[in-house]
Amino acid sequence: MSKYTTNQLTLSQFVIFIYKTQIGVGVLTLPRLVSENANRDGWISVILGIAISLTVSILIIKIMEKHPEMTLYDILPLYFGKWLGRFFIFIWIAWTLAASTTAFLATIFITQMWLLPKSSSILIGALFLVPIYLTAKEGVRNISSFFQFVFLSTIWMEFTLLYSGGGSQILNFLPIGADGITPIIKGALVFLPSCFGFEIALFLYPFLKNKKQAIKGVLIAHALTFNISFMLIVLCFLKYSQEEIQLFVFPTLNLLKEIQLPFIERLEIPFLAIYLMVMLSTAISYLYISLFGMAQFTQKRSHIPFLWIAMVFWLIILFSVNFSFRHLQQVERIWQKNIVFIPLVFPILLLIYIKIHHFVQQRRHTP
Amino acid sequence: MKHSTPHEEHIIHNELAKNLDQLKQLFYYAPDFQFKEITTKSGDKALLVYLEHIVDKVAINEHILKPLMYAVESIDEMHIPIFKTENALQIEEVEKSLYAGKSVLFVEGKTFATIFDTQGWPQRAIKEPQTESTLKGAHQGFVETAGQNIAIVRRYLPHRELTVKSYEVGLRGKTKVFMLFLKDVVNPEIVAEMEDRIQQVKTDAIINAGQLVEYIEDHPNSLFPQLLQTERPDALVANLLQGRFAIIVDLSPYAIVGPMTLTSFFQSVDDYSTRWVIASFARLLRFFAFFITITLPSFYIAAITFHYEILPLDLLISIGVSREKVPFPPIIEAIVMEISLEMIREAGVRLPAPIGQTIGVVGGIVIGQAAVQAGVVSNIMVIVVAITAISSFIIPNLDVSLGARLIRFPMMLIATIYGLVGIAVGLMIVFANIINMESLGEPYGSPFSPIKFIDWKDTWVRFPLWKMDQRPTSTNSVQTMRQRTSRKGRDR
Repeated sequence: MSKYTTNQLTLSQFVIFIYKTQIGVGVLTLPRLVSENANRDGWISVILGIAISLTVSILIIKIMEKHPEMTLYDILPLYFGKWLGRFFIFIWIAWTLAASTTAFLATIFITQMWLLPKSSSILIGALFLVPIYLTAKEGVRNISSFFQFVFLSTIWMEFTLLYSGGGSQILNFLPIGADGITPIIKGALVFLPSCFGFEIALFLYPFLKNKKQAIKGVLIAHALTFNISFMLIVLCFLKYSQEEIQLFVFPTLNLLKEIQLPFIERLEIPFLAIYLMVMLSTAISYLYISLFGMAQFTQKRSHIPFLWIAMVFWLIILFSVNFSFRHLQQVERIWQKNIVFIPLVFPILLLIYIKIHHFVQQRRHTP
Repeated sequence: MKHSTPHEEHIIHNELAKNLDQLKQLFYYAPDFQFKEITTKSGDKALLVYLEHIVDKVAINEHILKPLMYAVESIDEMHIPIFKTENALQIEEVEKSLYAGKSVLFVEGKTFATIFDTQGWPQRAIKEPQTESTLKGAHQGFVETAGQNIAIVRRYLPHRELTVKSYEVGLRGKTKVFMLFLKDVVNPEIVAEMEDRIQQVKTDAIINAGQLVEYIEDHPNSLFPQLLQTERPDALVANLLQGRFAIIVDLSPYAIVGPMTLTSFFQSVDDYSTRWVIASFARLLRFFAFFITITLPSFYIAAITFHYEILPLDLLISIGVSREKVPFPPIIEAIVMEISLEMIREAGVRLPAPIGQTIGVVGGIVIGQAAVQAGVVSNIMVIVVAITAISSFIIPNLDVSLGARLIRFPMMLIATIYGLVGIAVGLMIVFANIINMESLGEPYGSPFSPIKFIDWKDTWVRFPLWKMDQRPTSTNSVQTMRQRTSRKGRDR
């Protein structure tokens, strides 16, 4: 029996866990980032990006199928031996913690910028730590249940976005592919961080009740992510010119600003307040995976002590750094250029390594 | 007859006088202790003892004394048609039975006593339930006698699978507690777990069902109940049929039902007897009301304090005009009004009906026009408080309604500090707690998180009865099928 059978996930929980990790802060800046790189062909970049992300996800499932009762943290020592394996585990813990920290800090920054300009970031951070603690202290099943609640209570937002579609210019899309293929690929690479979250499957797979549905689950999660990203890009491009989009910091919120209801002006404010749930979900998801790794790394049963350490760590960061718009741009650049390729490249290399490993083993056993 | 080894001193003697002496010592401080020394028709000397006010005297006269003195030839022949009888060898057994309202017969020369079930304590007539009134449900409510309550349930379910298990809870009170369930439907693990928890209770006495709930619930610190307390037999039977168990507590008109989820508290018996579209509308209204109760006052505070730009200009101006004279910040205004509303409600509950009207008049004046004219609160605040109050009363279950009413105070505080962000995070905290809870191993947040679509047909809306073929999965019942094709024709 596997040690993960007590905390099993249904297909919908698996899907929403991945989906809620993928969708987060990125959605708010997505149209600008894609537009800066791919200009009016951004929508093609999104399709391309999703295709890449989906391919890697399927490769991940292929890796996991070989060891259906193990997470990546169990697999790594198996193939790389104790010390190298531990090194790779450490890299993954660091990566997920970095992703979680980025999501957490970005959420605070956006909240401060749009909703509470006069409150200090540490006050906002302290508030956010309460729901993060309450969910991250539980197991995979309760966390995904929480994501399901977030999913249900934010599903109306997509339909609200459609309401902003008035006065659209279809000509904004033409001409297609005028600048050649390079900007499109660049745009796809910039879009990829918004798809990150699929690598969570490396850790969720052993929890899934019916392993045969894994690929289906990954497909649905990507369909949901594609749906929202593509819709956003198309709506933004219909509404604004490329120059306008590149001026906005958060084009999605500007899109919402267009909507005026008889009882609420500035819809983006309540919208963003509720969207906090989604942004914090990303932080919770990565944080849990990181804590889970730490507990396994030190062979402790409970991950809650590490949760406290992580929370104190975050508070210290909030104390010592005074956030400004410049920081956000720096973080954005780091995400686009440097560490982002861990979830993308690592699984591919791992799969190749495993294939070679099996091949060598077979050669050794059959003289 | 029990075959325990009798203790030397408290054994029943064959001399009546000795037995009587022992009993008189035991019941020295019980002036209602009565004994009748009689000579039977056959010439035997006999002694009948009982506690005066908790026995049915007519029954004792008609069915014990009269036959003994005038009809039967020997005591061994005596057949008591109605009463359950048993024999006792020890005085302790006799004492216990006397306190339970039974009467005991000693016969000269016999070393045992016969116990007759002659209970006849004061009882309330069956009345309409007070806390859960319905329009179309049955007008019968539970009473304080467990036996009667079980009888009512049996009338609904005259079936061999209706199992009744009995326990005794309380070291002094010895309250009788009965667990009812449908044997082929309910999950045996849940019943076993509940049985364990009931037997674990070692307190003085259980006076009300609510007390027992606190001992056996999963999360007694939570604001929301995980076990339903109901006065309605029809609600209890409906829950039994869905695969839940019920606990009937003697001396309490409330029965306990579990395992429950949060959404199952939003169901009412009326839903199933009104037209399904209208019932569905009522369901949606209740969930909306629950949400309004928690968030409306805090939304008012957030909108006035932090985010007035979200309100359209005309509305903002009219709010500004009405708040012009008010010297307090919104949080003080809101707290004053909400606290006075809670005080009026609490006063209304405890007061007898004739004085209760006074509260209505006084409350109406204070909360209404007077406070506004005096410039203490704004008109808008009065509207907010009124809507909140009405919404909280729409929630059909009293415990959930009270929980929701309490949550709005921390929500108001958090909205004062953080505005809309506070409300969003506050909701996250509330629901994270709900999702982390379990009721007897079943997730409390089901069926919305974890999502179980199959249960949605009896959650947010009510599907037509003939579409609901399965019992809810949240009860984890063993037998899931509730009905076969039950409707003829093309609507199926």
